[in-house]
Amino acid sequence: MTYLFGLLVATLGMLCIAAAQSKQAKLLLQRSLNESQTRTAIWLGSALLVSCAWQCVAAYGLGIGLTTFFAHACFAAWLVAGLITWRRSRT
Amino acid sequence: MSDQPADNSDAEHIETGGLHGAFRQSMAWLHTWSGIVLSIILYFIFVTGTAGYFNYEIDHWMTPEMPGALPAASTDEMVEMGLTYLRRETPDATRHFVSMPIDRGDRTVRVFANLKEPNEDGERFINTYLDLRTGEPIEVRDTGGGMALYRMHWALHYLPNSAATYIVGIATLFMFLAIITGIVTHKKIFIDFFTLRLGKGQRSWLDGHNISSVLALPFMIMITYSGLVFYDLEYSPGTMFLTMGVEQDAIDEYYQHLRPGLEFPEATGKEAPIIDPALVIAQARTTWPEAQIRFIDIFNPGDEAAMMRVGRTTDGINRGGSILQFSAVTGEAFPEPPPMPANSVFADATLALHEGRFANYWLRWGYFLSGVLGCAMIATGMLLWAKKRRTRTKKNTPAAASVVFVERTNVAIIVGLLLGVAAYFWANRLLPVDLADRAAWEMHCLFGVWALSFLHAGLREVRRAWREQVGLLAGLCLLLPIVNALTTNTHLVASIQSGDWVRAGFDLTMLTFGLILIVIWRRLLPPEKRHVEAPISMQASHEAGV
Repeated sequence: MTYLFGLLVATLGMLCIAAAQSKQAKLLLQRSLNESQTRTAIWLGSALLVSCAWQCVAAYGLGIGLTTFFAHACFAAWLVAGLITWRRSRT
Repeated sequence: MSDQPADNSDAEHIETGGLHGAFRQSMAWLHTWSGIVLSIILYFIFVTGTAGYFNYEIDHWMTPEMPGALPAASTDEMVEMGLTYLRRETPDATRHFVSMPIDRGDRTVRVFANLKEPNEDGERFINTYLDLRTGEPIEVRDTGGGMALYRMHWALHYLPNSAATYIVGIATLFMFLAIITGIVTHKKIFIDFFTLRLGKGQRSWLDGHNISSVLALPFMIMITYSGLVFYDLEYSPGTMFLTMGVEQDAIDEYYQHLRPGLEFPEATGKEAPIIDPALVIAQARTTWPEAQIRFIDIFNPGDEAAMMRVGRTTDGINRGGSILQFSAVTGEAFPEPPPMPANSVFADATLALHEGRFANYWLRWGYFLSGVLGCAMIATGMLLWAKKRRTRTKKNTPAAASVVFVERTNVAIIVGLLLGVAAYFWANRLLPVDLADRAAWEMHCLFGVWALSFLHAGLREVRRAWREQVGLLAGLCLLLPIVNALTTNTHLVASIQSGDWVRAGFDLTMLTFGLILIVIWRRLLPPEKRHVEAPISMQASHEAGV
């Protein structure tokens, strides 16, 4: 369960980071975010990724926790990249 | 840095400057050539190393004689069973080792003994597996199993160990160089972070190469760097020689400094019975209340100076402190060895990260998928190299021989090696169980099929070679569970019914690979041969030769 929750948090973080990039935002949200929204998305995405890292380290210790976090972040990034690729193929 | 092209074609356009161009041009050139020159070895290392993350599971599948479920037995009972067998069969051994099953496919107690004199087969040791239900050896087929695949990623095959170590080391160094220069070259690393544009020819391959490497970048850096740390003293012996000198005693002293506490007492020749191992295990449990005891290792059993080592399963990235040492006669704990120096602790943690032995199944799959991304990164790099040079070839002009050669070898390297691995699994089921040197023949099948794939790629038109080899690979993967069902009693349904998810998982993974390969194979077909009309972008990409 901890793994799934960590993956969910990391995926939301990666989605926010992707939405902060205008060309990805156009595919994900059909529009670009304005400057303050972009800043918010970057901060929120970073905060979610940091909280995922914190959760992993708290659960598994520094070494395994960081390894687990990178696994979550990598898989989450792939999910978001897959979503964007799918959206691009539909437009 | 001002001379960068505006477009993120990055490496593809700026690599032509060689090492004497501007900084990023030089890096792009270095990235291309450091990656491509030893790509066959790197791909081999990544494929076999990635499979190695499931080496115990593959071992279990490749020995269908092993029981599917783990019979209930306590650690003390298993140790007693193992030692009883060893005392009976090898009373004069200089070492008795009993390893308990862990939860990754192991279903037996492994016993090992070093013999004083070679036995009638000329062997100086015995290594066998005991059935937990009977305490007697299980006759299993001679197979390399998952360990042989795993071992190949650093020891290769058909080569002396020292040569393999250096070949792998040089390839790893090239890989590390390619990763660092790739980061420098890729100036839009964050903008392109999630970008994968399909059906756009060379651009798609570049996106695929970037995304497979960037999204798993921490893994790529860790796995490459830690790979070099494994043989640090072999790769840079100057550190040791300059510090300690070249005499064997000095080298031994250096190793003792790096790994203190690994000295074993000499046998005295005076007989003394060993203590009940359960008492020693109980002591170990006070130190490790939650750990699982992994092995008992007795040196000079029956001697007054006998030593017993107790090991636990590794549950963290710090491998230190996972072994306790006791007198095997009195049960008295030996003093804790002095702490390892900081460099050894760092090396240990790095190596533990590389091996991932601590990983549970979630994290293990993460390792495996990251390894697959590594394979994809190398494969897309090789394809991109050929694609770019093919694109530069003028219309109605034959491509350079080097381009044609690489295009053909790419097929055999990328798909052919996987065909070889599939053939290895098939050989495990189809070779006669009593065949002499059976494990070696399994390996010959792997390399024989791989060699045939080069021949096939050389004789067939490139696009056809891709289709045929991918199609064959899909067939081999999909049919493997059927071959398993026809040749053993451990077919998929039986494995699921008996709760043997390790064996069932292997069959299911093969089926999944087969289905993915069918999708890829269909995409390699000319558009007119596909049952469902392909999207326009795919057709365009096919016409563009992708």
